[in-house]
Order: sequence, then structure tokens, then C-alpha cells
Amino acid sequence: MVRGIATFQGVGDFFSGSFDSFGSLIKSSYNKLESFERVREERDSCLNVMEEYRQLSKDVDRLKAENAILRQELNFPLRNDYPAVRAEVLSVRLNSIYRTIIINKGSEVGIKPYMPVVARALDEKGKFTEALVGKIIAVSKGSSVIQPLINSNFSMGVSVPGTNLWASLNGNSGRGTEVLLDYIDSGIVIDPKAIGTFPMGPAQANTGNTYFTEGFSKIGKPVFSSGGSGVYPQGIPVGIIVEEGTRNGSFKTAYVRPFVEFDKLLNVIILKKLPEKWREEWPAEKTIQIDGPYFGEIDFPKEKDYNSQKNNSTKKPFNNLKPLVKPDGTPPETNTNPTSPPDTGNTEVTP
Amino acid sequence: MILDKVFIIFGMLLSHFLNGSNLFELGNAIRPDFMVIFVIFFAFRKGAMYGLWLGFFGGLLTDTSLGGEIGPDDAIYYKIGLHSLSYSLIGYVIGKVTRSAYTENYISITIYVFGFTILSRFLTYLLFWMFFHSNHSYSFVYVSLYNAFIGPALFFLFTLAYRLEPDEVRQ
Repeated sequence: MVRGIATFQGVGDFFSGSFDSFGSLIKSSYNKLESFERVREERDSCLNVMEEYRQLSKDVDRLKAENAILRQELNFPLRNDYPAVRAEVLSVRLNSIYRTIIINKGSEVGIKPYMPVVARALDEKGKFTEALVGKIIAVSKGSSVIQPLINSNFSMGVSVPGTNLWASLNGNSGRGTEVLLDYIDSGIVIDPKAIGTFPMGPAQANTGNTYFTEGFSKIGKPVFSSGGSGVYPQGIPVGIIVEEGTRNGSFKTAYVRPFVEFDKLLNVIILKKLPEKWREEWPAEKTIQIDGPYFGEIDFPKEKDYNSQKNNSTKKPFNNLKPLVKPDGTPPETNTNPTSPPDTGNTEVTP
Repeated sequence: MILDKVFIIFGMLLSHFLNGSNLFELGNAIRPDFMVIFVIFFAFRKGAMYGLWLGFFGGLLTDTSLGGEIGPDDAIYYKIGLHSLSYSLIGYVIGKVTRSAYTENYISITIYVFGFTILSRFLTYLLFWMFFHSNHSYSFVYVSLYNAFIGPALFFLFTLAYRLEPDEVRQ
């Protein structure tokens, strides 16, 4: 009996020991798994922290670059006489037959055609300035097309440096990124070396005794917008005169290198300025009314019409300014006496 | 089949965007015309109809970037059709005339790309001169030389991308 109990107790101990060892195995395994899981979590958190640090260095680089740009912008004097919109350049098509620049702002922000476009550029002294890029020619809701200075159809008036004269700037220069300054007065010295080769140059130049200092030379001098057309504000830097061109009749020409480097253009500023109205309007009384604008026989007024117009002319003195032309084209005779009857062959014609 | 076309359209759009990029600018407004190389490649490898249609749509895409311009009568004048006509003419002519041309040699590709680029630019210039004005700043030789220089490399890449060997059966 006692042996039986002892045997049963031994078997029981064996099983309980086995269960204990199995339980401890499971427990230790669970503990190990738990520790592995903790290590994994720690590793993941470390990786995240490392990724954050890596991202941080990228952010620092980006912020440094942005900071450098903003510092430059602080030194960049913006025109404050017109509201401006900054835009990013999407596309610069310089190898196209019609050179254009496409930007990412459109009518949504109030951009309209004929608004002038400027950009940050370095002037001849190495300082930041707002230089002319061109003008807006087409606008959609979210983008616009700029006609740059180097477009073949571009033209504007610029002031010739050191003089009170204007010249015409033309994008159809025949050169890659330079524009043509045309209709320069023949008396203006552009290149001192070229003096004497042209018949209309200063008379002293051919003697060899005259020495033109750099003050006379227009090469290396900046040209500015004249403001005469009403599209561009006055005084916007355009470019530098780099070379004297071929003579255009009795006028001189010169090549101008724009301040803006079109192949490195990233951002532009659109000045919200619409073209001004003409300062001088054509007087209404001088407006020529063309009765028969098409080809054919000119319908000369009859004597009866002339007399009726003559009566009206006493009420409207400006009608006396209308030209009197004989049908054969000879100049009219001056009629000093308004009450005297007109010549039968002298009729008033509305051209 | 549809995927092929989609991939061709993707290549055309990529060429269009690369044309507007400053990435390949050499200075003095000298940069390649990727679209004309794209059209020349497909005209050589796939024939006249591919050249014609790719030239038409590629040119149309190029024309869209020229923008409209408000005239004195307040009407907007677009320049749609300039490049589409010149590119489609070039594509068709290449497909028709150069059926038996030898294009497996990179030197021959260089010569063909130079010649057809200058021809396409001359056609575009002529059309622009006829309908608008004479453009003295339009580059013929430099862009053609640039295209000729990068043409073989682009032909190699296009051949890999579109799996179009020179002995591909043309339509």
C-alpha cells in the first residue's frame, strides 16, 4: 500500500516536474520573445529617429538655400509703384520660332495681357536689380505666356544712356540672346573705334587728334525703358550696349545684351500695370471722315453741297481747316474773303 | 497595342517638356529640338504614316507653347499649325523617301538627323515668314548640329524603349 502510494507519488512528481519544466520553458520562451519584441521596437524607433535626423539635414540644406534666396530678395528693391505678382517659370522656349516663356500664374491672380514682366538680375555693377523680361501676351486661368525681349516680334522704346534721346529696341536682332537697338541718332558715339568709318560721324574724328573717353562711348552703358509707349513703366533696366551694329540708313544701330539671363530664369514678377491711354488725343474736329473708302470715282460734292457746307462753316470755324483741293490736284487758292463767292472749279473735298 | 500608343504619347510629351527645359541649354539660346528627333526616329522605324501623325500631333503640341497674341483689332491670333505642318511633312517625307535608307550606322543617323532637322526648321521658318514676319534670330545650323550630336544617343535610347530595331517591318 505504502509502496503503491510512494510509486504514485514518484509518478506524480515526475509529471509535476515535467509540467513545471514545460511551463518554465514556455515562460522563458515568452520572455525571450517579449525581449525580442522590445528590441525590435527599440530598433524601429532608432531607425525612425535616424530617418528623422537624415531628413533634418535635408531640411537644413533646403532652409539654407531658401534663406540665401530670401537674403538676396531682401537686397532686391522691388518697384512699389505698382502691385506685383511673383510667378514661377514653367517653360522657356528659346529654340522655337516664336520665343515664349510660360509661367504658373494666370487670370486667377489678376494677370492680364500687356502687363510688364520683370525679374531679378545683376546690373552692370553686380548689384541686384529688377530687369525687364518682356510682357504678357496670353493669359489662361492658371498660366500665362510671356513675350520676352528676345522674341522676334518684340519692340519697345528705350532711352539712350547719357542723352535725352530715345531709340527703338527690337528683339529681331539675328543673334541668339541679344537685342537690337535701332534708330539711334547718327551723332551719338556708340563705339569710339568706329568713329570716322561712317560719313556722318563727327568731323573731328577723322583728324586723329580727338580722343573719345569712355564717357562718350555707349558700349557697356545700360539702357532703360523710356515709358513712352505706355506699356512699360519708365526707368526699368533692360540691358547693356555691347556692340555697334550696321548702319540703318541715316541711323545707327547697336546690340544690347539683356540683364536677364533667360536660360537661368526661375522666377518672374508681373507688374499689375495696364497700358496707359494716349496722353494726346486727336482732336475730334480734325478727324477725317472717309465717305467712300473703296476704290472708284471720287464723289465730289456739288456746288449746292458746297454752299450748304459754307453756310455751316460760319457756325463751325474749324471747318475752315479742311483742305481745299481742286479736282485736277493743283493747290487751292487762298480765299481771304469768306463772303466772296467761290470759284466754280474749286470744290471742297472730304478726303 | 494600346499600351504601345500610350507609351508613344508619353515619349512625345516628354520630348515636349524637355524642349521647354533649360537643362540642355548650351548658351546663346542653343538647345536641341527633341520633338523633331522623336518624329524622325518613328518615321525611320515605323514608316510614313507614323511620321505623318506623330509629326502632326507633336507639332501641334509645340504650337501650343507659342501662345496667342492680341492684335490691334483686339482679336487673339494663335500660331497653331506651323510646326504641325512642317513636322508632319518631314515625317511623311522621311517615311516615304528613306524606305531603303541605311540607318543602322550612327554616322548615318547623325547625317540624317542633321539634314532633316535643318529642313524642318527651314520649313517652319518659311511658314512663319509667310504668315507673320521674318525671324532673324531663328537658329538653323546650331540647333541642327546639336540635334545631330545627340541624335545617335537618342536613337539608341528610343530603340531600347520602344523595341524598334532598324529592320522592323514598316507599315
